[in-house]
Amino acid sequence: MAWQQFRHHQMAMVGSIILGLLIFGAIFVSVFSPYSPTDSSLRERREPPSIQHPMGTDTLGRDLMTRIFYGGRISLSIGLGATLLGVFIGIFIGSMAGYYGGKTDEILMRLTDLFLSLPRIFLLIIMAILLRQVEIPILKANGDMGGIILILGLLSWTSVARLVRGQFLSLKEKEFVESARTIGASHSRIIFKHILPNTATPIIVAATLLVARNIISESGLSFLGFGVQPPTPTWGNMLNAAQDEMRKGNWWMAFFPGLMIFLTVISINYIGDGLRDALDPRKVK
Amino acid sequence: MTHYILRRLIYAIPLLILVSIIVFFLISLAPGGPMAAFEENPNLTPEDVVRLEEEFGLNQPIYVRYWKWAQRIAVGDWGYSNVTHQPVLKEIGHRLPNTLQLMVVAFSITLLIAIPIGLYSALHQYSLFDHVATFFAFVGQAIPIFWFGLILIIIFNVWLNNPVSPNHGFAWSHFTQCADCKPLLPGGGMAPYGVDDPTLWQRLQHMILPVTMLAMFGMGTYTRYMRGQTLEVIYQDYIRTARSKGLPERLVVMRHAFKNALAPVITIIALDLPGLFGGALFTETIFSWPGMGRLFYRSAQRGDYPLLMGIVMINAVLIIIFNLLADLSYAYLDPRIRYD
Repeated sequence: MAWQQFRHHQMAMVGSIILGLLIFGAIFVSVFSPYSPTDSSLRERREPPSIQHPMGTDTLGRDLMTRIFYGGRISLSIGLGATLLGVFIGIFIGSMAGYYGGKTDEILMRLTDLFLSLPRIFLLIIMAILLRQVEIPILKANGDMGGIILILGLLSWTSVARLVRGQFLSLKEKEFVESARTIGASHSRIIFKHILPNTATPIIVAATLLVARNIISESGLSFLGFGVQPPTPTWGNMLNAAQDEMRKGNWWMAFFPGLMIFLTVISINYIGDGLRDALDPRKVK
Repeated sequence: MTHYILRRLIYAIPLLILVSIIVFFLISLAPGGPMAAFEENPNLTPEDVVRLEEEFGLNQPIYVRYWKWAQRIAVGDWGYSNVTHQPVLKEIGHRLPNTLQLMVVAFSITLLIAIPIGLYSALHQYSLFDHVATFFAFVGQAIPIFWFGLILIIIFNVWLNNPVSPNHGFAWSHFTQCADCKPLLPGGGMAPYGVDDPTLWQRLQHMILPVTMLAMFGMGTYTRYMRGQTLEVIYQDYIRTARSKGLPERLVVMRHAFKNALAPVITIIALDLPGLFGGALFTETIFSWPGMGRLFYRSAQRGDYPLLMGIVMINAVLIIIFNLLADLSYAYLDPRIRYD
C-alpha cells in the first residue's frame, strides 16, 4: 500500500529513476567507459564536450564523464556510510534520552543542543586537517575516504537523536510498552524489540534526507580541498580542480560535477518527500 | 525582559565553555602541535626545543593547559597567529566587519524574497504560482551554493562582457573573452585591484555576485517553511473569526495569519545560523572576499591553529547572540510567551 502511495508521487518517481541511473552508472562505469579515471592523456587536455568525451576532458586530459561516475561511487558511498554512522549514533543517543528521561535526557539533549549550535563546516575542516596527519590505514584508503565518513558521521546524528527521543517519549507511555514491562521484559528488550521498530518510519525519512545533506557536506569539504584527496575523484574535488579553469571559460569542468551533486540531492529530497507521504499512517487511502 | 536576557546570557556561558573545550582538545590532538614549527628549525637544538616547551608550558597536562588558555581567553589575550605573528583578535577584527556586511545584506535579501513567496504560495495553494514556487524551492534546497557561485562567475564574469570600445559593436555574450572587453560584474575582492578607496558604486558592483550566492543559502528552505506554517494557521478558528467579523482580507492576512506564521519560522532560521556562517566561508573563498571565512580557510591550509580556534570561538559567540535576538523577536511576535 505504501508502494501504491509512493508511485503516485510523480516527482519522487522521477527522482528514483534519476538516482537509479546514477547508481547504475557508478557501478558499471568500468564496463561502458573505455577511459581510465586517473591516467592522464596530455594530448587531449581541456577538450570541450564532444562525441568522444560527452562531458569534455579536464586539465590532465582525463575523460570527465568517466571521472564523474567513478567519483559518484565515492560521493554516494560517503553519503551512505556517514548517514549509517550518524543514524546509528542518533538512535543510540535518542533512545537513551527518551527512554530513561530525567538526568540522562537532560545531559544528552544539552549535548545535542551544543552540536546543533556548533558551526559545522568549521569543525569538519579542523577535524579533516587533523585526520590527515593520522596514519590509520582504514581511514586513509581511497584518498581519506574512511576518515571523511567518520567525521561526517560524528557530526550528523543530531536530527535523528531528537526525532528518536520524541518518539520514545510518547511511545513509552503506551499500553503495549506497559504490558511488556509487566511481564518482566528487560530495558534493552523493551527498547529494541518493542519501541524502536515503531519509530522506523520517521527514521527512514530522516535518514534519506540525511544522505543528501552528507553528500553536500562531503562535496563542500572536498571542494575546499580538505576532503577526499586527488587522484581519487569525487564531485567535490573535481569542482575544486575546476575553479581556476572556469575563470578561463572552461565551463564544463565545473558544470558537470556540480550538476551531478544537484541531481543527486534533489532526487533524494523528492524521494524523501514521497516516502514521508507514502509512509504516513494518518493518510488513509 | 532584562531579567530574561540576563538569564539567557548566563545560560550561554556553559555552552561557550563546552565549545572551547571541544575545540581546544581537538587541536591539541594535532601531531607535533604548536612545536612542529620549531622542530623543523635547523637553528634550534633539541635542548632548545625542550626549553621552549617548558617556557610555553607545553609539558604540562592538558587540563592545566586548557585552564591557562581559558584564563587568557577570558581576559582577551587570544594569542598570536603562527604565520603572521599578529594578535589573533586583531586579525579577526580586521575581517569581521566584512563578513557581517556580506551576511547581513545577503540574509536580508533571502528573507525579503523567501517570506513573501512562501506566504503568497500558501494563500494561493495549488495555484500555478504555488506549483512553480514549490518546484523552485526544491531546486534551491538542492543546489550546492559553491557550485552556484562558480556558475555565477562563468555567466557574469566570463561570458557576459561589457564592450568597452565602441567599434566592437554590441558585444554582450561573446562567449569568449575579447581583449578589450571587461567583465559585466567583478568576480572577486571587495574593490578593483589596487584601488584603496573605492567609490560606493564600485563597492556595490563587487557585492552583487557574492551576495547573490550567499542569498541562495536557505532561500528554498525558508520559502517552504513559510508556506507550511501559513497553511497551518490559515485554517485556525481565529482566522475564520477575523473574516466573519468583516475584517478586510489584507488585514486578516497581515495582522493575523502572517504574524502567527512567522514566529515558528524565526526559530528555524535561528537554528540555521551556524549554516549561514558556513555559507559565508564558501562565498568568501570563491570570491576572495577578505572576511573571517576566507581567513579560516587560509589558516586551515597553513595549520595556523591559534587563528582557527579564535575564529570558531567568535563564531560560537555570534551564534549565541543571534539566537538570543531570535528569541526576543519571537517574544515580540508571540505575546503568549512570557519571560518572567
